[in-house]
Amino acid sequence: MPAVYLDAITMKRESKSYVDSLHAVLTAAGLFQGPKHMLSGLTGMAFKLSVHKRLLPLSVTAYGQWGDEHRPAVDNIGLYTAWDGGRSRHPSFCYYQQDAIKWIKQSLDQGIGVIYWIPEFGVIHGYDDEDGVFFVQDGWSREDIVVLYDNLGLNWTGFWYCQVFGDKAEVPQEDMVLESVRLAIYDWQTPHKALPDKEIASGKLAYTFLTEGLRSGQFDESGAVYILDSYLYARAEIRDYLGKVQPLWSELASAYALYQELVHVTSEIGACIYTLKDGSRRVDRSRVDDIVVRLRRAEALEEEAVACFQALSSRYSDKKRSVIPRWGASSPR
Amino acid sequence: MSHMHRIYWLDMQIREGRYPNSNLLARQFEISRRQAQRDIEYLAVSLHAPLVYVAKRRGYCYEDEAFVLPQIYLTEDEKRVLKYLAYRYRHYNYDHSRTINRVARLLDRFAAEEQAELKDSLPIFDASPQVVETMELLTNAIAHSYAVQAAFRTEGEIERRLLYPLRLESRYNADYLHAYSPAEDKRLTIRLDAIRELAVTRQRFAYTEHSAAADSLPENGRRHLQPYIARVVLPYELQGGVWSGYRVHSSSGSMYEIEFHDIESFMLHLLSSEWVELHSPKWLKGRLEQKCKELLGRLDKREE
Repeated sequence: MPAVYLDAITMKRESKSYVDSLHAVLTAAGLFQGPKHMLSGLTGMAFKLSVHKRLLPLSVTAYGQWGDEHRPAVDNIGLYTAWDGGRSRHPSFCYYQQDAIKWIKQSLDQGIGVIYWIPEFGVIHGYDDEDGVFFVQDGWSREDIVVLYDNLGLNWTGFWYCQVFGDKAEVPQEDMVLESVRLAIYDWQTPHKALPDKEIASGKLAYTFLTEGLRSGQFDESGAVYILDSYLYARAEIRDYLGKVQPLWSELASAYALYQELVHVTSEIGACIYTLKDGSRRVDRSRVDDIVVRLRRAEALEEEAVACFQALSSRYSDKKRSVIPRWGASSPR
Repeated sequence: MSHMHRIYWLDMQIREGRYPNSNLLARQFEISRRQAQRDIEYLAVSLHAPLVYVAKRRGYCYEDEAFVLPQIYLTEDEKRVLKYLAYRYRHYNYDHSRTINRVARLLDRFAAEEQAELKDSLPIFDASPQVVETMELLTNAIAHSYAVQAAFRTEGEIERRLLYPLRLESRYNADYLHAYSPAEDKRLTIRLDAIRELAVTRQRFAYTEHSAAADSLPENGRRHLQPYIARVVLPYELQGGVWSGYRVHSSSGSMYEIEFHDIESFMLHLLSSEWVELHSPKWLKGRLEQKCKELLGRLDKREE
């Protein structure tokens, strides 16, 4: 009975779960070389910020329709990708599931891991036909999650998502960087990306949801900590990314300086989170005002940085956004 | 729990101020004195009774009269309530359904020695008396594989069918019957409140839901997580279709296919239970081996 176990894949939770998974899969397959912040920046994933009104933990992964978000991200680094997903309650789900089992195994046979919604995102890095199982890394536990073929895609969220990768085309670094800041502008300017749900805000409006959520006091304790952790990590990623690519254009150097200041301003927010005896972490409610002041300042800095990106973007033609493809703004599916 | 009747007797004697001791208990129930002493220890240690030995009276009393024995026995009514709750929880399929389904299995163990049957005075949760009656009739028909004659409303029309009732399901706060229609050779899902008339026939049917996989593909596409299955050879015969709470999927001789959902719990069970051989799955064997190696490694370190 065929079985594959890709030992070279090691996923570690640090950034957004999708970026962690993508980095683990691509680096193990030799499709990307470089630190995680470069991948996070080039794909534009670092710029994605979404916040639910009540600061629920789902905020961090609710940055839009995954297909529409991940496809441009992976396209930008010149990689072939195919994905499928949807709601597991749909009557036709079982057929898509059986099909997905086939192409996931094909990808693993070729030595490339598969991104899978556990939830959150993780990496399928092995299978065993005899037991009828996939082995999945979630980036937290050293032990694999064992997913029966029959249970592929079934989880409490009701969504399923799998993504595979193929060959890579060489894309000039300037093109990738320019597109990444354009993705950042789009993310910043789009208030709701998980429509019709307007309880989740993106980009600039996400700052308002975050600060108002904290101020109201009616927020999810663990969600607030997770959002802030993710926010702080992503800002540091953006700073490091811009630090690397700033020699390309002067606008990027200006944006880099702004993000340096932003990371400095928000660095104290980490100290406003304390750890309980059981290991869980909480936002110190007595310091919410301090956090909000820092976030307001960060928002202003990020607004300035986006203005730099816009200045850069306007210098070059943008065919992706000036020509509407025949299949509309979304992918044909 | 077979010694609980002695514990209750002991408790009664103490409350009546008779200062019972192990001799008295042994005489009353024709058990050894050592056994009687163990009962007294069980009352003091496990049930946390504030027992005090009064030397002058050569017997026991309670230091704190407020102590009461835990309610261990369930009345029939309480069992029926638990059965109903177990039924509801078993069909819960929203957030945290795995945990809640586990609660259902726990309630099942308390409530039902055999099959859960719903009869007599059920507590009613947003259900009309007619629905409850329909449910009772169907539960009985399912348990005994009796076909039913049903008239039910569908798209504004009343249809009449002979049905083989397979199972009941609760979703979206409504109850549904999954049944097989032999005339049409297809499975139907009917809301209980759409059933206008129902009569249980004496005709028995042999149609079953062939496999767990088929069962997990109801018409509406909603799917349930399938359990992992371990193939284990046991040194004894299992009774009642469960192995210390884990459901037996199927068996062949001494080989049992055991269903489980929580890997860690099942591994702990394997570490503390008697079994001869674990045939599959490979990944579970590997994990168990790894755990044992780690344990041995820790033991070796200590010996060094």
